[in-house]
Amino acid sequence: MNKKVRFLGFSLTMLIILAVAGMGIRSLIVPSKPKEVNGYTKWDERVVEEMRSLPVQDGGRIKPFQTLARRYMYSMHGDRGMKVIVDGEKEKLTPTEWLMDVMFRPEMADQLPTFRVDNSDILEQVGMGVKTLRDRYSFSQIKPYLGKLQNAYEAIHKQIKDSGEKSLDKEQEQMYAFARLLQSYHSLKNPFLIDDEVKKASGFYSLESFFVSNNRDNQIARVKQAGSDTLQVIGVLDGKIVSDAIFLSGISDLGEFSKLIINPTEGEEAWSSIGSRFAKVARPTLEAYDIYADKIGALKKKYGKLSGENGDGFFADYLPVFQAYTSPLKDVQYSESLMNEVIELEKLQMAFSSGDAGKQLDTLGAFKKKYENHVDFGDEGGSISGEILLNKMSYFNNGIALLIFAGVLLIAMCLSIGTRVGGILYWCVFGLTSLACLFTIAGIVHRSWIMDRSPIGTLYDTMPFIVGAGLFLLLLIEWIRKKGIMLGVAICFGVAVLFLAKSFEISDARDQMDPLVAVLKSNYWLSTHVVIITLGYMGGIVAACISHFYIIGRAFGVVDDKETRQYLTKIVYGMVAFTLLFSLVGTILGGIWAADSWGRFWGWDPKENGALLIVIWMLVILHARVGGYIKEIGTHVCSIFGFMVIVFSWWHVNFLGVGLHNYGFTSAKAMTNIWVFYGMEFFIMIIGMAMALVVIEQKRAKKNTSKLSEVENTNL
Amino acid sequence: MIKKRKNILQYLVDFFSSYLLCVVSLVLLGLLVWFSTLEMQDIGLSKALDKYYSHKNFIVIPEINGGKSTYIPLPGAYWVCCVLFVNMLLGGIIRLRKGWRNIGVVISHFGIVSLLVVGFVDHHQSIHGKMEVFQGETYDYATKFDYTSIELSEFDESGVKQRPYVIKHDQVADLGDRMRRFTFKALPFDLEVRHFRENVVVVNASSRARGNDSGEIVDGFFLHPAKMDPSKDYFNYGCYVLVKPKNGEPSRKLLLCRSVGFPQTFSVGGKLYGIEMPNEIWKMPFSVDLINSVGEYYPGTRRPSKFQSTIAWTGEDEEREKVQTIKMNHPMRYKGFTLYQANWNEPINGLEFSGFEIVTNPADQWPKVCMWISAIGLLVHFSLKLGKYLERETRKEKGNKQADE
Repeated sequence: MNKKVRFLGFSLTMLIILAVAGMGIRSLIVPSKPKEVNGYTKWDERVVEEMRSLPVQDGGRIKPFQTLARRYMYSMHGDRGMKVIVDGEKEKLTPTEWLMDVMFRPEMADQLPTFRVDNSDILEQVGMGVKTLRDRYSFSQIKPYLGKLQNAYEAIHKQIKDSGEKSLDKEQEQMYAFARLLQSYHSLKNPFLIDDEVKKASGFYSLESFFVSNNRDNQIARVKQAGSDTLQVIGVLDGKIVSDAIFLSGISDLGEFSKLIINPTEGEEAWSSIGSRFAKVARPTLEAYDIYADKIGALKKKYGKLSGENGDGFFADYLPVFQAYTSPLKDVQYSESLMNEVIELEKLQMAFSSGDAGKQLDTLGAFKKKYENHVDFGDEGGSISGEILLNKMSYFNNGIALLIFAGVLLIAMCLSIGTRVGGILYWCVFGLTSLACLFTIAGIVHRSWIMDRSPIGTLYDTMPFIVGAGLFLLLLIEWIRKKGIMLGVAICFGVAVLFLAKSFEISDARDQMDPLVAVLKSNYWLSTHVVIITLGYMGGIVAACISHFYIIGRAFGVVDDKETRQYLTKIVYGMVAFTLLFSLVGTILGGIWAADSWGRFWGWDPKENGALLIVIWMLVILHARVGGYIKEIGTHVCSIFGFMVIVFSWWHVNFLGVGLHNYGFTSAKAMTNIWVFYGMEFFIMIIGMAMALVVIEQKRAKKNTSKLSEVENTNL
Repeated sequence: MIKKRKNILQYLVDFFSSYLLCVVSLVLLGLLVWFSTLEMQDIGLSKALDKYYSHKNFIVIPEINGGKSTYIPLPGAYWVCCVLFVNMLLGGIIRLRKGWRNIGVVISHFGIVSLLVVGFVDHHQSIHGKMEVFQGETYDYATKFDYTSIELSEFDESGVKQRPYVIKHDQVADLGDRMRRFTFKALPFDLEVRHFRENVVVVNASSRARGNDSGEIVDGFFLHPAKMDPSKDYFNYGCYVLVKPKNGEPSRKLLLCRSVGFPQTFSVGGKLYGIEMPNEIWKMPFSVDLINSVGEYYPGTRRPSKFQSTIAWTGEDEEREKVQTIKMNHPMRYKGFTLYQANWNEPINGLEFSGFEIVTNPADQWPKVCMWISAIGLLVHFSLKLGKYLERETRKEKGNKQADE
């Protein structure tokens, strides 16, 4: 293999890496400067450390607070960290610190640039002045426009109800998603922060005192004993009732705070959150208040302005209304455990808003100790420390970093080919790529161990798996022939798919380790059908990557020697065969799973059809090759088309909105990306086809020339 | 050398066993699968299947984007599969040169041919239905999906419905705007069924303009043809019936619709009759009693973690009752019928409920065998190829080394 091939080939592949990585980064980063946040104080590192591992109940499983924080930060901020300027210094807030701010110091969190907006037009629609199309905004900046946003949200909601989600245009989709994020942000905020005015009016300063002061009999006795100043007594009682209602509706179902208590229904049959239990007990009070408010309104209308003259009459009418309000509430009982758990939450909140790190640590320590026995992962598996370690290891991010580093060394290797340094660099690149492969596999195994299930259960899971298996296979091929080409292909492939996984994780903003629905809870079928079909995807993608290298390389005259061309074609042929075998077996296994579960082998579901399309296309390639309809270039062009078929099956069908495998997301942005991908692949196919025409023409010309010389020789 | 002239049969055999036909058939099948998948968004799964994969359709015209984009006509997938079947049988098994080199190809082709046979059997023989079971009652029937029926029953003096007379789905499904008369010896009237439609809504004649609707107005209502919601994939059948008493009493027009869950009543000869359009009843070879049903969700979510039912069932040839738990991925099987957990509900009026779906398919377990045959065939073939490739490479390397020396 000559130097030029290695150098130019890998330089080209590196350019592709940079382009792919650049596109990925562009979708992850919003070009905005860190925002200045006045008066921000950082949390004590020990408190943050302790908070990270606090077990919370979210998405159907017990997980560390850090994972919850990451999920929310992805969905709102679109990143795993938040850059701010505090007192002129740049600071990076971790998801845990940010969520602690939102939960316990909402007034400070409101200043943080939490909300990533990719299309600022939606803010302009509600009258907000914006400078750039994509930016990040704080809640305080958005607050003045909440009313208009609410109206827009309600209008879109009605449209969805009437005409379905598909009737929304791109901007409406974004507006709807943004309004829902704001709702979500609101539910994260500390529910115990009630105005001091309200607290004073109602005569309690904490939930503890609320539960104590809520003794209705005392209040009636006070009314009955009310002597001289009737109006003042009415005022106090009415004020207490109104502030009770505001207080209770303010803390409603405790919002996301409920998630901090992991197993509040010890001894009860079905699990329900502390928040919903609290809301259930508080509901009669709020319902009674609604009736009370109506009746008092009517009384006030009847009596007009109260004075000493009409006060007694009003009081005589008020007393039965008050009794009607209090009598159904005699049965309202906040159980001991409910009161204790809500008070625990409030204590936590009070400690965290105190600013005293020692107090925060003590309270958090006591809180964790109290609930540590409740951590029961059941059948779903899980480990708080294991997940903290998983988050810390960032296997897939490290995999990307290693691959990019390997890519840089690869360029250097190409520049120094044939030298001793070149040889050393080759093994460095091989080692780094192998390390990236190991990191990816370790990440897959670690996740699988925590989830206590087969490595693939969600769309996200397929991506690292494809990278792990693909890198392993490419390294194996490289090990056999040591041509260096597969290293370049492996790096491009690994970086692209891992970036895709990262981008998907952020845009999907869901915890990808949440438990699976009942029908997928079968480790046997997940380990066979799903793993095998994903290996089929991997085979097709790897084949297509090699074909890209072949076509682009040949178009630029890089892959010009016959031996390299044949080598690449044989590998692609092998990978097509691999894809056919795994796709066919995986697809039939899926049918057998369906037959075992639903009594039908084949349902023509879009996902099933997608898998069938892969099988059909691989069969077309193999038969067309054996039949002589395609040769070398044709095989590569078809392999690239196979990539499009795989993407159709892997991604596109998920957006169709029909079938059992429908994942239900309808993001217009993702669909646009898929169409851009199809366009790019078509372009490369056209290059390949044009190249094939040139080769055919050259062969024909050569044949004619040889015929001509034969004729001349004969004439001679 | 004189070339032997081929006769027509040989030409046909050559054509049907050719690689060209194989590649063209596969490409066509791929296109049909692709178009049908895209069209499902607009017309729903059942209609797309009927359009693309039914043996009744020799030609299909794909229409995607809600019918805005129409493409060139293609042959129906069923017939493409038939051609592929013949091609594989002739080219991939019968005419293929036998020997160790091709043993894998023959085996894998045999596996795929068998799989196509399974597909044909499934297409023609499988039936799907549902069984909704409440605690405390015994069920020995299901109702078929996508199959409706017209049920006629007499009501006795106390208003109790007697055993119904049934007009099956297949007896009316092909009607369209035509009329068909049904006569029952035991009944004092004949029935004329017309305007049978797959999807209708019952519309109050006064509430909206009729437009181009051809349907008649019956008791202030008419049937308006409706587009099927692809996400629900449910056929709301409807038709008009004319009750023609044999005793000379005046005829009576009625309107039937699948989604109307109660019978339309009429009197003939002083007796009360009811007519309705429920799903077609499907008699089961076993009876089922629901012992209990359990539905669990993951804490704090509406994501189901467990749906299961415990049933007591007795097969028609068995005397002893069996108790079995049916859960996701663990159905009950009996005599080619598969009963599986499809949905679950909170108890209704204190009674536990469970929704099962039921399928019968004679080719139920055959795909497993086909898969093993195909997989082994492909594995043998590709292993031989890989072995050969590696052998060639090693030989080449040796040759290069020797040349270097």
